[in-house]
Amino acid sequence: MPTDTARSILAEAQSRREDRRPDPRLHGISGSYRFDVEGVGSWRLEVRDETVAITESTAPADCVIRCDEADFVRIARGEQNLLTAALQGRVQVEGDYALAQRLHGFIRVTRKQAA
Amino acid sequence: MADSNVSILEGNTFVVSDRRGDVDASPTDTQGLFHNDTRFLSRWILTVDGQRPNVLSVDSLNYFASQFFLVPGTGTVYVDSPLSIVRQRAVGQGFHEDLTILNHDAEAKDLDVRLEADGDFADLFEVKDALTKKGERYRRVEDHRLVLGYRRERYVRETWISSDAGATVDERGLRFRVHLEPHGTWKAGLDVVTGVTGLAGPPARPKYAHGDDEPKPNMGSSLKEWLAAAPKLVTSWPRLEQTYQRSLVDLAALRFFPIIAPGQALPAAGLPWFMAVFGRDSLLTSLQALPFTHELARTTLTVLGLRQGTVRDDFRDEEPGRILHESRAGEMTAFEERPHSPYFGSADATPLFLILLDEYERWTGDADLVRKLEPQARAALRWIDEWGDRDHDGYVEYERRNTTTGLENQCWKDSWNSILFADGTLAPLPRATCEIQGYVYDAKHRCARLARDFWGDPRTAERLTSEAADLKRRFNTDFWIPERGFFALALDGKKRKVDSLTSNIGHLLWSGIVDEDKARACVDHLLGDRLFSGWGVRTMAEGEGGYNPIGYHVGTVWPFDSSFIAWGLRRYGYRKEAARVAMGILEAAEYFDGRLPEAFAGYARAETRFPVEYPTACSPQAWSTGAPLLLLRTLLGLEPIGDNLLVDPAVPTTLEQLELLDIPGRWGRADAIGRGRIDLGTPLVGVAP
Repeated sequence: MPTDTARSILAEAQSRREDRRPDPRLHGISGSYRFDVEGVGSWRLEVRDETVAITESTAPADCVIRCDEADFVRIARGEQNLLTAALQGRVQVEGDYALAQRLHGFIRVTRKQAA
Repeated sequence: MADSNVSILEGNTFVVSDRRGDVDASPTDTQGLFHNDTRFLSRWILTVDGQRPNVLSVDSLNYFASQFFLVPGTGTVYVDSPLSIVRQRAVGQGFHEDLTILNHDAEAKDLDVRLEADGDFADLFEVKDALTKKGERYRRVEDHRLVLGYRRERYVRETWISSDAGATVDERGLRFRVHLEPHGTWKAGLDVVTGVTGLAGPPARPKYAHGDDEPKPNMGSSLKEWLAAAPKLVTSWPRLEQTYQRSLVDLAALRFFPIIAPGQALPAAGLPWFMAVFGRDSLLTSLQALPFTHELARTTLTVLGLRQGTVRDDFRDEEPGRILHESRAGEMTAFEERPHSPYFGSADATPLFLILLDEYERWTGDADLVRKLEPQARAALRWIDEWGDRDHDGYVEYERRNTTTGLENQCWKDSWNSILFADGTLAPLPRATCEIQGYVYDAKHRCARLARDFWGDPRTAERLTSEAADLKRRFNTDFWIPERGFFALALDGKKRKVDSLTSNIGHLLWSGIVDEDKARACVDHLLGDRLFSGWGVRTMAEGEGGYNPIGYHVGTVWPFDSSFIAWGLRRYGYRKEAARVAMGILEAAEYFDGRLPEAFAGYARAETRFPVEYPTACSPQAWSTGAPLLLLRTLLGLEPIGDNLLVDPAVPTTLEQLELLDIPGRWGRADAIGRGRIDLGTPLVGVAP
């Protein structure tokens, strides 16, 4: 199995979400996230009406999460808890913390769908 | 906490010092400046000419501010001092301290004033368990500021200390060369700021500056507004008014402003160890406080709903739909040496979340929140059936998956030895404690109403009603001990009835799960000599094998416990008995200047004549603070019925007048007027003058 990169994980999530089917597990989450993956790029996730749209973008977002690629991959795979990563200083969270809190479940939703 | 300590707090920042205002913490000591569950200052010692001053008096101006009046230490017996030293401190984003020295003499004085500072950056868990640090500490002087720091990988915590009075800063503290003219005054402002990596950057200044004496809560409502918005108590018992005011002020102090819900407050569990979000404590305190304020319940529901469990995670005892137990932010949590990010090991928080959601709507009419939290409520209901009931026997039982750092007891009596058979032996896991089944019954019953009236789902309403009825029927057979005439404390791992007589049966009355024909027997036990101490209901009855009047959950009296029991007694129509329990606790409050401790000893009132405080109790404790509020509700018989507030007082004759005015709710504001009509019989001993 090839090693995951931030780009490969987001590309896969992007293609999976192309049909934009509503996912009831996203109920109640509404807002935008931006992941700034150091040295790799920025991606914006717009969550509305139980769907996610993922684009490579540096546009402003409600909640911005900044980290290096290794941590991004671990978080996206569900191997690293977002809150403890932030408390450790591995991840910088800015903006809407309530959205960041919801992201915890959302990442796992993404991962589960991939399985 | 030792009586000689002085505590001030704001949210999850607090300072515990001695009566001089000094902090001199040993690794296991509770003194310090704490923020986000971390001790940012473990040493803060003032000396004048090399001597530590003596204390004249201490004033706690407010929950967030205190002032210390000192005179220079002489090393001998007290002699009239030509100098006064005043330290005024206000906590918030660290703290600000105004240091003033007054010269009463006709001669000028030159003084060497020093503040020694150090930070051990201990996690609260380390302070409690005396653990050693894994990272490295550092200190540096930059820009006339002393920086104390701690680093472990990328985890960095710093304390910045500076002054506006031209201090000489070295790596151990700040020094002032003070020249005081005859009858002169010298002043210095000191800022101590806490810095945390990962989340928001450190604030550049403490929240309070020189001369600030008004609270600046992280929300719209100041203490003055908070008190003004609360109902007014008018009573012939002045000490009850004192208890009521103390409760309101302490509840304001215990407000916790979670970073995920800006501008909104929920009740933290207690000072100093429990300034954190606790599912159970925040839910029960919000329930107690509902007739007085709605904000705490709204925020508690919102925040707990936001971080509801989504997956099975054995380290955190997380399961889909489960409501969290405790959330922490210290180093051990950050590095996953403790599971509190957050930890979910609570079997009652999930049904209590549903109970509060319904009760909140009944008081406020806030249908929007009930609709908004529909997915969370449904997930919580699913947790009860699919995860809470681990073996599908129709009851919620618990057993931790995290066998290293998880909680063994996941009910409110969470000490390891609380669930005992009558012969004193420990009940094997998994345990299904009785009150949790009561909460589940109540939660399903209440959610049936929410499903029918707000979620447009009559089928779910019907199913929940039928499940609740079935649970009640089974429970009254499976938990009832006919030969002893009460409900078992729990079913153990082998489905045996854990046969100790405990206060838990009072929570069953509150939930409504008790068959009418069994209620009288429960009431007789609750008010009998073995359970009722004269002040309140013992957690375990005298005479049981595990009973200990100073055992944390096996004999002490918990005011919050008794407050819910009194509510349960009212629910079943036992007005006089409810009034007796309510008066016992409210009379006990007088001995603590209106601030009820977490627990007091189970000694009989007739023997000790005063309530004996449990030795290591936290104070103020949120649900003890909430107890007088719920007891007032109980005495006045306040129940929201549709858009009206039903008032049905059951006030003892010893209390001539009890009026609560301007009670907020969906009706706007309403008054409840009670007159003493219930004769409680022979007056009890130990009533404070």
